[in-house]
Amino acid sequence: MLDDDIGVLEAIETALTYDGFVVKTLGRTYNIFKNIQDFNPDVIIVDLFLDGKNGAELCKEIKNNRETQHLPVIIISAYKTNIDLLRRVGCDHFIPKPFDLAELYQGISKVLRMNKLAID
Amino acid sequence: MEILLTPQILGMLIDQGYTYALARSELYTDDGFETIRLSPMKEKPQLPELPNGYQTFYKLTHEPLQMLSSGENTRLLVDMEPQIDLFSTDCDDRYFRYSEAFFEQVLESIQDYAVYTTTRNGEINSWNSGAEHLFNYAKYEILGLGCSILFTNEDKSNKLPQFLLETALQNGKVITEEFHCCKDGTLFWAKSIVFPLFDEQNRHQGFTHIIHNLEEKKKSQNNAIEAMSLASNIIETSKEPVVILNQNLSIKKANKSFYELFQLNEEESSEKNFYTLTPGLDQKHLEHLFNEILPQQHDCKNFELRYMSPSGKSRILVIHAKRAISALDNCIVDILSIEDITDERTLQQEKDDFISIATHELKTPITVIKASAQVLQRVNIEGASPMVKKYLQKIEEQAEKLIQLAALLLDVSHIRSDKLALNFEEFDLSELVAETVEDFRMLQKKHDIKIEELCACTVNADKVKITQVLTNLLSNAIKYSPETNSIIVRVFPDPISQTVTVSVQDFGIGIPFEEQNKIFKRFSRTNLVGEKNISGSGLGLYISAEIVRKHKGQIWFESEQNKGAKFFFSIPAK
Repeated sequence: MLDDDIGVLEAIETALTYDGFVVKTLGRTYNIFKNIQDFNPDVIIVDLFLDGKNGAELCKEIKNNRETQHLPVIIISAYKTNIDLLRRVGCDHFIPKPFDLAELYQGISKVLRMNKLAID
Repeated sequence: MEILLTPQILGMLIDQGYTYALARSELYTDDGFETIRLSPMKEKPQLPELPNGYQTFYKLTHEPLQMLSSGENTRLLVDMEPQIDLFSTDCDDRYFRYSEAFFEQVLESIQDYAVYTTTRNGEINSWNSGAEHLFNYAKYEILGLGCSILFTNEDKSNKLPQFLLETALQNGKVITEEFHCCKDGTLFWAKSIVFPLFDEQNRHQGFTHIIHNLEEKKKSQNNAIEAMSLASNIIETSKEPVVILNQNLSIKKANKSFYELFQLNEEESSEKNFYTLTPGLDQKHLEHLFNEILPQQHDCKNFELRYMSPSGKSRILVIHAKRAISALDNCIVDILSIEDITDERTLQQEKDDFISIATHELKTPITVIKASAQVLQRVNIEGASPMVKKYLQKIEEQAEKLIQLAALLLDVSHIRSDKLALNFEEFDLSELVAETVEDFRMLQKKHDIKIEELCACTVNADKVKITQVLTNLLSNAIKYSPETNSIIVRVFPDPISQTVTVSVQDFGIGIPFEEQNKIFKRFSRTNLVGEKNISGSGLGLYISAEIVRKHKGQIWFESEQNKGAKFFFSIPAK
């Protein structure tokens, strides 16, 4: 999970870990592809507005990279966003902040399911 | 109608078959005049009794009457009751006499001008009601008197009256302005026109005098000048730029602020057209104002215009304009008052931007609060007292309230910056109302929400936003009726206006009359809610009103304090 707000990272990490997910949190996009390579996530959750880089741009890079293009990306944001734009960059799901944990779990389930179907 | 008996009038009466005239004599001992009043008759009067106080009668021929009227202090007046065929042209001479009576009637109808005629020697032989009004002499008092009575003593001693008659005869007309004298000695300034009267044989018969009182006009002009001076001072002291334009859009008058705003030189600006002087203004918009709005409405408020100053700065101007007629010269003028609202608009935009940014930024910490509370609620904390769980629940509830408030503030921000986007789709409004009511029934049991009227009605609207309006009205109905439990909802069409109306009625605290005019304003809450300790942001109705307005609909209410409120909104139906 990528978000420049440490409070969000800690809260979401605690919640997801409690439910059995293994979570790696990052506050910056620096060395993102190395981290992805090392951690090998099933889902990437990224905030739209990060320090330095826009979450949508990062999503596009992930989807354009052969090594990472298969990974589902969920974008979260406090700002109203153009959903079409997010789709164009390959975003698989958008969750507006603030959200219930239930909404987050639903989003994760959905993208994992869809990814599995795509692979199959 | 009584007129002085002249030979022409006598001839006219004889032609009409009047052969006799009843007569009565009246003596005025004050001035020694004798007036003989004649009433023409077609038959010989029956003696011994004569009607209406008449003392004797005469045959209507020239000789006796000439004899009667030969006295210096005697005047003969004839009562022109007999109707004369004015349009008979059997005899040219008679037509002239008939037309004289006709014009007598015409003169009588002229109230604003004194019109009288005199003999060749200046004795007054006709006197219209305008003259009566102006000079205060009644007809019977003035007929037969010399017209010099209407002049000042000074003019009389200078022989002005005779001079005017001589000049009029010589030149065909004389126009002068001088003082005239009323019956009570009051003087007034007047314009007079004197011209000679000739019969068809071109014989000089007398003179016509037309007098126009200029006192009123002079007074009005003085008042107008004074008013102009006052207006000029007001304009000059005004901080806002003000300009008065002539009909050709050149500057008639402008204040210092105007010249400063447009960086103009007063002297160089005279005679130049407003368009030429203000090239930085949106010319097309200006043309719309001068050529369409002002000619039709004569008045225009809050006409917004962009202005690019010579230094390249963009300003937003608001013009309040009025088209009027100048009292002095009877010309059309356009009065423009200009307000520079650039700074105000910028400040407002900054405020709105701040609210938008701050509200967005709030969402992130709210996310953390909510997620943390939810995590803790799920984690089975050993030894955790019920109070812990209770307060965790409270944290989550308050976080939810913060979310709703943030959403409202964002809506307000979008409305104010005109960014409230709507997604239109067709749907059955009654179905939406039924669903929303059902949701509310599930959420709370205290209030019984009844749908008393429902009609299937398709609308083309933003379903989410209309739901927001409904939710707001239902929430308010529940919130503001804590001690009653009935809420009534109706959906009904109006075939005439082709709209569908939804009403939500509660029987709660109502809205006091003195606070009703601000109910749809931002942050508006009545004093009663404070007394009753009812929470709320004061934004719901403002947002609902804007949503309805954006749908080209209407929202209104009926309410009485302590008797509840009934809110309505209507939108166009398909």
